[in-house]
Amino acid sequence: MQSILRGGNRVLISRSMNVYTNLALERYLAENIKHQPKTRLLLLWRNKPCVVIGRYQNPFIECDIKYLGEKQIDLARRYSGGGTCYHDLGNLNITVLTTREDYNRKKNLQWITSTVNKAFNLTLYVTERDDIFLDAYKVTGSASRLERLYAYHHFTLLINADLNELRRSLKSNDRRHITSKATSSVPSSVLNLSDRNNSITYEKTIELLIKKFFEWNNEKNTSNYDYIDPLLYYEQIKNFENELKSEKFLHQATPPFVYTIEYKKQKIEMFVTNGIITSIKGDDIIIEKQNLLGKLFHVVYDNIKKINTNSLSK
Amino acid sequence: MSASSLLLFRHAIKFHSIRQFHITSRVFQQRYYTKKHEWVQMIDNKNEVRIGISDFAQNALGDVVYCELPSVGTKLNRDETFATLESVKAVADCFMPLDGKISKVNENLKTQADLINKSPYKDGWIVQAIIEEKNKNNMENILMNEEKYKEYLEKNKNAADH
Repeated sequence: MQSILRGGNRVLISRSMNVYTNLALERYLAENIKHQPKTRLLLLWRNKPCVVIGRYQNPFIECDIKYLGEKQIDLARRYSGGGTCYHDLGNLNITVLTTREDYNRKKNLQWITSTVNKAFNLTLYVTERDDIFLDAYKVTGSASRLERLYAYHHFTLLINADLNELRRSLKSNDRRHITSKATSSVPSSVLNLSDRNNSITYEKTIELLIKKFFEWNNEKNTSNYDYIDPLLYYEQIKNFENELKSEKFLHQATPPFVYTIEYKKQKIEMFVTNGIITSIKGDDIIIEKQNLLGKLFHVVYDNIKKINTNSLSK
Repeated sequence: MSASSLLLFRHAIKFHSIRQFHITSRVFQQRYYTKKHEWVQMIDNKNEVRIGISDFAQNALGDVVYCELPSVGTKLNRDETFATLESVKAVADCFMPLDGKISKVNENLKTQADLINKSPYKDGWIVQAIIEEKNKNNMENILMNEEKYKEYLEKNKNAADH
């Protein structure tokens, strides 16, 4: 068990496809590995279909929560910042974990673009926002977390994800109802790498990155990579995993917002802080007001939508 | 004006302006810095300090879009997280330069998070805290003063970008 936390230039590939498990594993490694200066840990992972929002985002703005529920697509909030993304098995997640001093997003992204371009004959480039684009299409989004002793930069790489599902999941009808200071995503048109070179697969990309990682770090020990089954470390990561799965973290960590609906041609405003409806403003006191005040917004969300729909159909 | 009344007039103005300085302005002492680019500054010679992040730090972070602030009354040790900032580039923690008890948070940051970028040393202050007497007198030793911080930045110019 100790050896999983050793420092140095290493690659770890997660066998889990559960987004909560993988995010918990990432945090566990970040907080417990004995990071050595001038070395990097590369963590490679992918998830079955899910939507991941940034630390200070509002899930109602960023995705269609109802659709996610219907299709059993997981919804997770991560610890790093940035925008919302859709993951499935065709989307590779890459985490570069270093000491705080060695944190450098541009270097990580430049390594990926030059490696992938060379191997697969593409023309990826890094943008100012630390995205990776192929022509006018986004293939990578970045996010980071900086702590006292360590830092990590993780980013996605669209290899052959279901882009229709991606667009459908990230479409929210609630944007116009919500005013908030939550960080908003910057939407872009997306593309799979396999759309430009159909020989690219997830497996090939993993192989390539493992091999080239050691060259990048001038590391002689080129067999310093492991497949890791997070289930074996359940005890160590369960606190993070439970937090990530909890309704508290998912919904109550949303920054304060106001949800506005129309009822009988009047505007009703609901003020939500820490996930709880703390006050309701409107000229008419709607019948359901007693049932909404003090309640968790995401729990009474369906009722609220019904009020809005009912008033429109009159 | 006669020479003597001019002399008296000048003297009166000098005296008056010094008096005004003490009455109307809060006296802020010099700032001390941590290696992680937080700054701390005594307020009014009491045991209360103001804490924020340096110009170097705000520049490295990029535009701050969200601040998570602590509750007033929270007791924190040196190096513990007192605030978390999200910028367009990262979520980053801010660490206490000294042990302290949070006495005030900058409420303006809730609606104008970018005050940290626009005015890192004045309007973009993040929290105020009550500190112990012994730490107050020891700041020169445990932290860097303005000059030492400038040298520190020079030395680390080639450090990784954020």
